[in-house]
Amino acid sequence: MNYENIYSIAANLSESLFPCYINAFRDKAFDKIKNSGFPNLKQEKYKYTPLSDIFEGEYIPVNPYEWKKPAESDFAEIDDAIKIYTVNGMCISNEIRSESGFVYGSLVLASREYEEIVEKYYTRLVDSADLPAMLNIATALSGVFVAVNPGVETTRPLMIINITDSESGVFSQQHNLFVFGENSVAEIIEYNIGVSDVSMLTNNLSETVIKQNAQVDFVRVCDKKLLSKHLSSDYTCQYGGSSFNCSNIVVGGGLVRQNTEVCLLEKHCYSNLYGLVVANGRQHVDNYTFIDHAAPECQSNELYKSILSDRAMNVFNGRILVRPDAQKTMAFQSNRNILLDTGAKIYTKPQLEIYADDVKCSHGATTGQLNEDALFYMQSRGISKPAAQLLLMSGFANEIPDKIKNREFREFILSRIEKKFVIE
Amino acid sequence: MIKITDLHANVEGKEILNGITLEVRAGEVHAIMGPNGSGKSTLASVIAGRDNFEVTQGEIDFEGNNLLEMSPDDRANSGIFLSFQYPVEIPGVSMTNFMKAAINEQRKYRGLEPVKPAEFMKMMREKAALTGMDSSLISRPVNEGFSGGEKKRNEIFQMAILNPKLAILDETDSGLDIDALKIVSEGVNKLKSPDNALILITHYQRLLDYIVPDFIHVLYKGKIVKSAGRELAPELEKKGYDWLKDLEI
Repeated sequence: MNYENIYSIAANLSESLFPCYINAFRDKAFDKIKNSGFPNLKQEKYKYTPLSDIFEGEYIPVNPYEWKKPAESDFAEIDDAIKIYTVNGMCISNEIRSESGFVYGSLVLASREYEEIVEKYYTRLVDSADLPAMLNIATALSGVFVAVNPGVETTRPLMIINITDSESGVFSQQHNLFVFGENSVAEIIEYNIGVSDVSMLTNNLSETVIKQNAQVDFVRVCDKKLLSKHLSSDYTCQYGGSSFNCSNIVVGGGLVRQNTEVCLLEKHCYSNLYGLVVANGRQHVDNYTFIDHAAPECQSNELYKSILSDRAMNVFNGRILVRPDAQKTMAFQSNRNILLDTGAKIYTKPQLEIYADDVKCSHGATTGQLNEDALFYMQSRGISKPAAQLLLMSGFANEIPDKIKNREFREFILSRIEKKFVIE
Repeated sequence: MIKITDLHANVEGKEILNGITLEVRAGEVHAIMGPNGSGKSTLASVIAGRDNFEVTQGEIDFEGNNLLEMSPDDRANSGIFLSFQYPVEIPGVSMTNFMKAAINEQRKYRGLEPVKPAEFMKMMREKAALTGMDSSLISRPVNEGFSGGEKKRNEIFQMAILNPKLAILDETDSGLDIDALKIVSEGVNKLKSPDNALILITHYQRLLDYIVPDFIHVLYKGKIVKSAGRELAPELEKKGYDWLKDLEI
């Protein structure tokens, strides 16, 4: 892609869309890219999914003034959620609304109407060495803004439906900002879905701020088509006593890379990261997680699972940093994988860096096939082999979607996963 | 009901069953006894259809069907049940889902509609009561975290749900204390009828105090070396299996 070109288009359009404090970040971010030789840069973090693979090919940046409205009926079955739609990264609602405890809408509008919040956090959570994130900061022109005021317990989940739909290969980006005030409670569902199966590239960035004692549930699902490449960099920082349950589920997408980074800034944070990858064909999925224990007495649990068939490839790299002051840290990580075919591959790598001495940390990874004894046991009760395999696969995988709070979305995802198993 | 004729079976090239002939009729209870390694569990596995055994000779007729040509699930659906010596734990699959899948496959095999949820739950409760199975186990994953006794009781519970024509109990008594053995045996006796049959595979005579067989067969080196009525049990108890060594096999 011609980055200079994309940048100059974005810089141009941005002036009329965003206030200058947002645009001020673009130059600096773009300098990072120019100086690093992106995307040919070799980085350990991108060992199995090189940036050059992600960004190879020509894509057209989305015109922020052109998008198709999604059908009204989309996701009608999840009717107790507030829904926000984006198409190719562009937020289609042109207002900021207040509903069921949420304040939400387009980041373009929020950057003016909620300037004091946006200015305080925008880009502050992002690692400046993260080049896809820098590209997003330099050139993204849209995003979703969600805030929950201190002390507010939201009454319904908020569902962000990101649709990619185009006839030619588009390059879509969005920069989302979530701010959850002290003692607030919220559930966010981000559902990334592809409508048309043409080559396209998504490079999303999210920043999530969870203030003291807030409780946030976040579900992220990637269910795109096979020609899609989906890159998502998700930064979260947690303040004292807050809790964060994050589930990353990947069922679709040709190439999916997710960076999930959580910083535990103050005491008594509680963080659960869950992941599920169900991949077949030649799907390539790469999850990089980073939990930064920067304060004492926090706990993190991580459980990532995958079921892979055909020639699918999955990467799990789980980095945990326990800083010198983070005494009494508890950090547990587990990665469990099932390979259904000999062509399927998993690369798993725990990466624990512990600089405090009074901590409890553990990690483990397992990879295996479906249990033959269990299959025979089920068959001996009359269950056919394919049905027994399906039960075993669901039994393994469902532990992750079972953690989704909202019943309707949970059932929707469970049936989506089962459909994928049947194809496999 | 089942007629086994000159059955030979190998595992990894080694002959484990060496010409077994056995017929079991409806209403009968047969006990198969013998020392460790005589082939008792192999016989059970071959009847159930475990594929790590290779049948090299002989046949098994089950109600007019050639059993050896049927898949393990078809065998189960046509009325064969194996109570496992070591029941398998299946994480993530609840007893309820497991049994619902099993009962519906059986009904499909017989051309029936899937069971209605209320009817199914009623059946689960009734059979749990009948076999002394703790009903809190029903919502848990199959055998996961069950004690040894609970696992064996669970086998009999599944047998009660599936109501087989021929049940094979492979060392169901092993690992059970005397109270658990009584409860499990009572469950089995309640399920007994003139229309079904039972093969008990056991090392010890103790189980036969609770489930009384019509016939006892002694298996040694893959062959039935002695068959008699129930009066053989006390004799075996007294003599043990050492006398077998004197047999010329």
